[in-house]
Amino acid sequence: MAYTAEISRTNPSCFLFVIDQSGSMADPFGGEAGKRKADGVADALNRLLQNLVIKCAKTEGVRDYYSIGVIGYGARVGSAFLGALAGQELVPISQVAANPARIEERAKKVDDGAGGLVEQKVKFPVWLEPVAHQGTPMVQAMTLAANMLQGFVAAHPNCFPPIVIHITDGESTDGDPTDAMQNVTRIASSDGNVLLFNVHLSSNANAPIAYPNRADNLPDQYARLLFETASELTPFMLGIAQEQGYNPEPGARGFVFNGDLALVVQSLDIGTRPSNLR
Amino acid sequence: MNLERYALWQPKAGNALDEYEDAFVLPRRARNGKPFVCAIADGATESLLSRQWAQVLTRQFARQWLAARDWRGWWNETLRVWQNEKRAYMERRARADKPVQWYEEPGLEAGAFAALLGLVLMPTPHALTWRAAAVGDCCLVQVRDDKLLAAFPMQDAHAFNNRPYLLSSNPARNDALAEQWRFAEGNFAAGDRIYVMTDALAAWFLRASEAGARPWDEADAHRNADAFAAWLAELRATRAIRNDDVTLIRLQYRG
Repeated sequence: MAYTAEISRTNPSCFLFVIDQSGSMADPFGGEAGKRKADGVADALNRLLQNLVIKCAKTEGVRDYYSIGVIGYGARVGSAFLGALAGQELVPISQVAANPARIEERAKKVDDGAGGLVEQKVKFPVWLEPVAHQGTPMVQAMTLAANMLQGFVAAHPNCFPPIVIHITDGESTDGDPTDAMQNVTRIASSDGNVLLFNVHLSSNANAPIAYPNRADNLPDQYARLLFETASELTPFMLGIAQEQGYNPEPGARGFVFNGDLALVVQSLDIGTRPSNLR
Repeated sequence: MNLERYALWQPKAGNALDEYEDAFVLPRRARNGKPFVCAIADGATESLLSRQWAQVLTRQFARQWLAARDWRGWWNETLRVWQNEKRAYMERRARADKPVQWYEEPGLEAGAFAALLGLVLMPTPHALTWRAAAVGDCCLVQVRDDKLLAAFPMQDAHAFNNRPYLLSSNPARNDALAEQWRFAEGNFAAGDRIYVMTDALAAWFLRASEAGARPWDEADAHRNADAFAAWLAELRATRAIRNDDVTLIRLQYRG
């Protein structure tokens, strides 16, 4: 059965983030004044990386269950890691954990145990800064993604299939990206094809849509293209999506419109996760 | 008390021995006329200090379950012991100049998680009674006359999943705990066998039994550490069993 390979240090899997850093990402996000799409992407990606690292953390260190890559595309196409990881393509997650470009302190409201909220300082590691320059070479970015993943799958032929998370506002400037995306999802390990999640960040203030199974209600042609090219959720992911209250229909795809991607990390299976740990 | 007993364990394939996060207590002595207490626990992969927490739970069950008035009394004392244990751990880290890293903070704050199953054998004039208490998916199976007589708290192989409710060292995560405790008891007659297992082996055991096989005979055929390890390697290779830490306590009452 596909998508059942164990994720372990001897048989790691891979996460590849493909991030739109084009000029249009400086536009406001979801109609929110003051927040640019590029800020939303950098925040979302830093949070996803943080959650992935935490998921692999034990007290003796971070276990290398994954290799991680971040491709940025805009003025240039290539690794978007900063700091000590700058220029690197796929790196073991323990290296990601050890090398954020910087660690911010952010305020978080937490329950004070007496019905109120109290502000607490939390650490927020940053690997990626908001960038918004020039065109949207999506085809070139997906071609690089396919090259990197071919290398990974050749080295780990029985791995849980790599997961690609592509975050964009959807307007490719170097041609129709459909073929390049299909070339990505055509890559397979013995456990199944690469899974592509497309996250569409729009300036359009439409309500968020997560994991639809049809394109009818999507607001524009960019959203429809990103829906069509996204992978179907695996049965395990469908189960988790159900538990999280998304009510996905059969055939639901890894497509999110103006929404967040918490499900992707929640649905990774590296062992027992207590139901009372949220 | 003529009680034949042994315990076997193996870490998840690919993990080092010191990454084993189950724990168990199986006393060497079984005194006539006295209760016999053993326990097994399974620390969650996705929590920090799981092994230490599983060890505290089993040790506390063996030491204090019978003396406590009810599970609440035992639980409060166990959380107190854990606080000391965690403080000592943090002090050791500080002394070793290994400060807590940013990626450990959320896990340490969320707490450690583990499943627990404790078992008490109570002598009665002509036999033994077993009483068990559990939270989570560790499992006890009783076999009599070559038939599965009882399974507790999981009744069948379908009941296992990757998201069990577990005992947390963080009281805020144990909201519904009162509803999660499971209790059972039964007679332990001469010749009966009890197998207490962590989830991966228990799921295999129940699945095999449901398919009409006699998994107890297969388990009994691998009684020493090497044979047990080789057998598990075979089950894992054919994916008959999930790759996870495995612990088995086997008890047989000889009358």
